[in-house]
Amino acid sequence: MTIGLPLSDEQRDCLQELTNVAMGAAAEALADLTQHFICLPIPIIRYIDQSALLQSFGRVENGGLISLISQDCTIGGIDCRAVVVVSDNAITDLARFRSQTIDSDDDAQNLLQQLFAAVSDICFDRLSTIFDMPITRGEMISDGLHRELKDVVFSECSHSKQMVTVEINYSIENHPFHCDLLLSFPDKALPELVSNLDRLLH
Amino acid sequence: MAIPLLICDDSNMARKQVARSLPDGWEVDITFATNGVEGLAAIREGKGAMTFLDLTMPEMDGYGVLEHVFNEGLEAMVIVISGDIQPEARERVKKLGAIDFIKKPVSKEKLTEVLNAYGLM
Repeated sequence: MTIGLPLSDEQRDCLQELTNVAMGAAAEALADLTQHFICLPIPIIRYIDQSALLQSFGRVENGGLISLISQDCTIGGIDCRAVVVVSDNAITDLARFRSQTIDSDDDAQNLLQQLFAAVSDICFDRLSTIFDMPITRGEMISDGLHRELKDVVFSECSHSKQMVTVEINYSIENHPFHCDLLLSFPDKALPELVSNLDRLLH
Repeated sequence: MAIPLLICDDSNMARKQVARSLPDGWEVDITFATNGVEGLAAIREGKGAMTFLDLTMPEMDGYGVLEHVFNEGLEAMVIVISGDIQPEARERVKKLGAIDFIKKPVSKEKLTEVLNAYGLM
């Protein structure tokens, strides 16, 4: 369920623009990893209940199996969780782009971690630079390979009942490859997020 | 005479950032557009002799605007200001006629440097 965004229009615009710049930096790394031009979307910002979280990944799933990986980060005092979700087909595509083969789940896991590093790490590094605040990274959690979206439990993607989310759907031009990055800011992080957005705005 | 200057970006924050980064004393008549369709309309009306253009926008993206400007032979010197720093993005916009590409966030120093490099002020 999408609910009223606890950000003013100005704050929402600011968060979207910051994310836009951060995802652009990550796109360069993703283009390097995939050897393809990355189509950048407009980041989608929502305030949602945990129960609606998995709907964000419907396009990636497209009826097949998915793999996901996540990490908690803190930029200054702003807590955030990043979840990267790709279809199993996208991991196969990624291996082919890189002239690699997937002979085991370890190979697939390794590719997934490289993807996460390109998409999420660089995005967070850029956000940290823009906010001019240090970043602290938690442990990278591999939430599993070859899963059905319906089997993913909400707590794997978020530790908050309600949250502000930023959805970034990376894709490759004229190719079915998709990779979703979801940033979620739990309710308890919102005062710090809002305060820092206001600082950048004024 | 003031130069018709268009700032086309879907973000209010980004539009303000570009406007704040304009060189002091540069005589311009500024028009703002919030997406590519609005931006293209402004260029067709002669309001974008100098245009600062974002790439990722709703309705019509920056590539679409550049294609129209190129195909219709519209009068516009376009500088792209974008967060998309893929080398191919830079190549594509230059092929479509943009004179240069500036990485977001833009600064007064960088904007002045680029405008000076092309003798635009």
